[in-house]
Amino acid sequence: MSEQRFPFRRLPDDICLKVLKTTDYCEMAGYSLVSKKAHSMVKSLRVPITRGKILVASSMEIRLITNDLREIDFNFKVPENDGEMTSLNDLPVRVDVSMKKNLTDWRGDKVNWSNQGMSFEQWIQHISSIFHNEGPIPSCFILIMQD
Amino acid sequence: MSSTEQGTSSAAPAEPTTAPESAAAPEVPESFYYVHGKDKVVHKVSAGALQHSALIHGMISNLGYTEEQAKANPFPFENIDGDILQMVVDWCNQHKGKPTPPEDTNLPKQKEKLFDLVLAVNYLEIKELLTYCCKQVAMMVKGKSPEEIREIWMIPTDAEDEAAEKEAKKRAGKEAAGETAAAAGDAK
Repeated sequence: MSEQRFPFRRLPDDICLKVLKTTDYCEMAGYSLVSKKAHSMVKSLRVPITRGKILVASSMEIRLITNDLREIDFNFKVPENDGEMTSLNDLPVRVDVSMKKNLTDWRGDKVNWSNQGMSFEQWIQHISSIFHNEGPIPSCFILIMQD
Repeated sequence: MSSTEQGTSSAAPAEPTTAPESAAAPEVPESFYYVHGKDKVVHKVSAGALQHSALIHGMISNLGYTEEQAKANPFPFENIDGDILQMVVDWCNQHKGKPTPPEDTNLPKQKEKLFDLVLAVNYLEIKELLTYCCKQVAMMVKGKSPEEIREIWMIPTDAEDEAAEKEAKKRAGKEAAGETAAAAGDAK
């Protein structure tokens, strides 16, 4: 890992932003979680999405469609013993993040993230703070409750 | 000091030795300019290759140098390491008058060199090369988790950021106090 290290934050801010714009949406979201400064930097990019859905059932999923028709899924896993999410204040055990390059890419790339110490509610707030809705529907996210 | 060709470094700039591009093409003498970095090694670069750098292109347009004046006054880039400037010159020569491809695999793999290269390219305003460099930096974190991104990009924690901010404020305060004292001394 040490060979891979790169002093990103020593770059001028405008170059940091240029690099971030080059990353995929998953890495952008990942970077926004590393510190408060990183979060505000990603927020400043106002990353556009056309649609955002929050699906709430026994667990939770946040699905975003970007302007270039990529789909990003944040799939929140609940503890296997507990079985299901009882409140938005619960913490997921982990988050499976996948990105489909287009709407026919069924496989996509998948990575597992830790819960970052955040509850379901905090995850909703965080993700909706970094992705900026530019779709025809004025509300940023649609909440869908499932049985 | 070293001397190489079409990279083209020399302590005492040599005469241009590039072959004519086409026998049928009309003979238009290509102008050459000279640049040096921190190591003072002079690189001879054609005006065509230097078109990539908005900074140098602007300097050439504004100064209206003749070839003799350009030889006598190499553009000094004291803030750029010699090996990094060599890389930039090589890239400009390789991509002279050519459309730039979407990917460039010839960029340095060592992360410390890449960091210096990004700063140099940004300073010299070489847009296409900067785009490649940014892509390379972005590729380092492809498919990584937030923890891995923090590690690879050496991101300070919130506590470290706060401490650095406090330190910067303290330093700024001291500097401001020093300037006020100096101004008061001048007034006396």
